[in-house]
Amino acid sequence: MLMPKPEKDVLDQYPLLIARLQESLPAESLVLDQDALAAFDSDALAGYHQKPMLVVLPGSTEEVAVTLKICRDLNIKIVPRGGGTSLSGGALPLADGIVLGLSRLNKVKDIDYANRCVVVEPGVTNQRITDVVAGNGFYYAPDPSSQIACTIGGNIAENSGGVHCLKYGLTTNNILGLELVTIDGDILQFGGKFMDDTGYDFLGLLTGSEGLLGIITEVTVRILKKPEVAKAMLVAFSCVEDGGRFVGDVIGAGIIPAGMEMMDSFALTAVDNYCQLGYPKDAGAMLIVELDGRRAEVDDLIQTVEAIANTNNATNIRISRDDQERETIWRGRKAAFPAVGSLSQDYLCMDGTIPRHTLPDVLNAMKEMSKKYGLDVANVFHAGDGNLHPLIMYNASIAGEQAKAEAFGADILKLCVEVGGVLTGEHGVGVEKRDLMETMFTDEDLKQQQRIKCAFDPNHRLNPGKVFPTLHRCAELGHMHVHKGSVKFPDLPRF
Amino acid sequence: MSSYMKPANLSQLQDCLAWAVSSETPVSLIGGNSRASLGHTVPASHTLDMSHFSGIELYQPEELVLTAGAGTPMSEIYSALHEQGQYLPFTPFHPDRTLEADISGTQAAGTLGGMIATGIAGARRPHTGSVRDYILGVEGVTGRAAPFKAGGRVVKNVTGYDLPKLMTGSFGTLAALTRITIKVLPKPTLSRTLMFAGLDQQAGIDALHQASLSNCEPTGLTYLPTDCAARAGLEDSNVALIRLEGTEASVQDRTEALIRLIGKSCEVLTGETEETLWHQITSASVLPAASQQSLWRITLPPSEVTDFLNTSSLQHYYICWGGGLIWALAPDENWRPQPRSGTAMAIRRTRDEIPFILPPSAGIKALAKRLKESFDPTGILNPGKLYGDF
Ligand SMILES: Cc1cc2nc3c(=O)[nH]c(=O)nc-3n(C[C@H](O)[C@H](O)[C@H](O)COP(=O)(O)OP(=O)(O)OC[C@H]3O[C@@H](n4cnc5c(N)ncnc54)[C@H](O)[C@@H]3O)c2cc1C
Repeated sequence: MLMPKPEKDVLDQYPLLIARLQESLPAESLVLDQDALAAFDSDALAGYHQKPMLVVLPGSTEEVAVTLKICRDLNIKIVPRGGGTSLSGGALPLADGIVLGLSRLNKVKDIDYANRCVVVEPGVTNQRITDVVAGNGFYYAPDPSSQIACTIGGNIAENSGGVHCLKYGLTTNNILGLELVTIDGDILQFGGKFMDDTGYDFLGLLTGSEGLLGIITEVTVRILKKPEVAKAMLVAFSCVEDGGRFVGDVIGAGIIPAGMEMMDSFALTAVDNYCQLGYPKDAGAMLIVELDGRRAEVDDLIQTVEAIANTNNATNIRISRDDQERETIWRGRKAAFPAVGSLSQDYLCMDGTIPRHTLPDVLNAMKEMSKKYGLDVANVFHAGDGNLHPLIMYNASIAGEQAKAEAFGADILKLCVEVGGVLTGEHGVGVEKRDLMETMFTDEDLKQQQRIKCAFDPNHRLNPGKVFPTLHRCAELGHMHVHKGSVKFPDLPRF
Repeated sequence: MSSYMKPANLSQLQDCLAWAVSSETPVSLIGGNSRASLGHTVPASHTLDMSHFSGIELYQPEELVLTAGAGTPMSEIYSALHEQGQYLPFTPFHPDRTLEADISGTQAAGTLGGMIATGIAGARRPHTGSVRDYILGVEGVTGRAAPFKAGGRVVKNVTGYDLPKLMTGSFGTLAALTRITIKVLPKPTLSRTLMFAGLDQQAGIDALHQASLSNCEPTGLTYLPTDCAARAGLEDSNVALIRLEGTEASVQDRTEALIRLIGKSCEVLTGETEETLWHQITSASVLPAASQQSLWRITLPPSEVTDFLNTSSLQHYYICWGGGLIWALAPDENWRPQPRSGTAMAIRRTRDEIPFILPPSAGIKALAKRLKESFDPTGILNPGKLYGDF
């Protein structure tokens, strides 16, 4: 994947940029040292590195605004960064841009149980929000596996999900308010401690906008009361078809489990070898189903789900009796990435979504591709909502293998689109899937998206090179191609 | 000159809009016309009727998705869902009140496109989410006369900006939608509403508050002052209403837990009485129908509801969402709600000078205008309907 070519006049601004920043910001907000900059040269997308001009780590919203104003004056590009755990290269720096790291903005500003919300700065980690309210029996629902390291600002930018989003929704469904610093350094407040703001849904538009529209400097999230109990069920099937049918039947029975995760035989063997949990290794597919709520309800639903499992030829069913057993069942799923990592030098984690009923076909096609590319693939899968995470194993030190793995990944994602799905369910487009956008969208679709970008950032200075395969100048996008006289008048019933 | 255009297909729709663009003629978009009274009057003598884009194209109950033309009557959507035991958890606002008489929705007025474009959710919102939380994909034609699509038909999707959400509640000011995909859910097997009568207002609000902080997962938290309760055909006293839904064992368990928690006796409403009641609450028909007063829908932080009511000298109002939503008739013709934080929409306006929505900050308004221009640079689609001046 190529990044936009660094602009010489921007690079030439370097001394001036440093002078202006040093004049306006305290020393602890600036990282200039070349060695220190190396820590910011990539995110969690394997294989991509680039040192930025410098890093600004602002200590307040005002410092964010000042930084953006200086960048505007000098025409400098900005790459926002939270915890740097993006799997799509969203936080990959630019040679002619700064990284704006939000990690020092890490205060929990307000815990408001009466309104069931928490107000935090963007650098607060996802896990910490739950930690600060857990004592009172509350939690923040979206739970990406990276939750101890990723920030709420990054979660907003990527609209992150987690294993519980089947029932509780993604980030976008769990926020009430945002503070945004615009590219011009203006500070805007959207929403607040109330629901359903009127006017355009800016919260919806900004969530998942991958740091291309503005800098998130404050977030108001909803918190939920922790369910009385949660129980996990481990269900094994001899083949993926049975597992897939089971998932459909559970939902068909009107049950929306808190989580429903599937692993194929490759993944579950890898996991079991890695952490010895006594998983049924001969299974063709294994599911973890979590049900939560009040005890009476969970006990009731577990029975129904167990019956559905049996009807679909489950070969093994295990139900957690307490939280410790529940955690054991989940431990394997949570260890899936490191388990695969232990088998392979490197791996790529893909993130397509498919209509659930196409799962067996898609997995079979993936097996064929795996043969064709000569690379192994393990599948962990948010089964309830059709979000696939194929893990492609390769060795980056073998010449050409990274490119091969990427081509394999691209083929998988194209297949997802072909069967009615999408390129990314929760990891974002970033750099990784940028050049595949045309498989899902027409030129006009992408142009319209870029016009929105232009409404926020007319000079493409915020995180350019991400999401859009071709950058069009805003002036060019603004032109209308409908000309007076050249359109036929509609031949329509009129009265 | 005025005209009425009813395009039969995408290319005709594009032609209509190309004509509107090239002649700089604003058009007023309609679906089923049931929500036409919402929003500012559009200064357009040309109407674009979207009702030909009709019909359910894909409905996969096990996938929880439904794709239909934007002009599909809501009655058709409700019928299809009803048949499969599924529903729209956000229970959209229906100004026409048809759902009260016909709870399965087969007589409901309006279209899917109109429901999405207005984006107004009912009583379950705090628990299940709003209209915007259920939209997955859109197709349509922008004010540039260009066809576009965004989103998809799977529940989890972050490919590109979330334009389906942006379309929801945009009142037809950005694009004419032709096709919409939504997420649906299985309808709970059992529903039951606990009615606590005779609580004074503060005690009523406190009861809702306690329920919302519990783990009983209420899906309706409403307080009706006496006059509203009477209009709904309930007691002749104030009532706090708490709805519980789920499987039988679960609802039974939570009923007991809530009664213990609130420590008061209650009556239990079920069946059609119950369902009709919640439709009345969603369509605001528990308020006097008097049309000489503006009708406001005010959303605010639940903890600020008492303060707001104390400083607003309202005569007719009721509380939903455990305090997060107030429906109120304006006490006089110049009244505008002024929640400390929050917002409001004038669902019924007696004069055009009354803003349809409380104006956002200047910065947000400027951004909204640029967003509108990015879709509709000549301002042909429902100009002024939402924000008043663009
Ligand atoms: C092991 C592992 C497991 C993961 N599991 C999951 C999972 O289960 N579900 C899931 O959804 N994701 C998962 N991810 C992906 C990743 O953790 C998420 O995308 C996360 O939200 C990124 O947050 P971050 O703070 O690390 O952001 P970064 O990686 O720093 O940045 C991500 C994007 O957000 C932008 N950004 C960051 N902060 C701001 C801000 N304040 N304002 C504007 N833009 C900003 C950046 O420019 C970039 O485009 C996983 C990643 C790893 C490494």
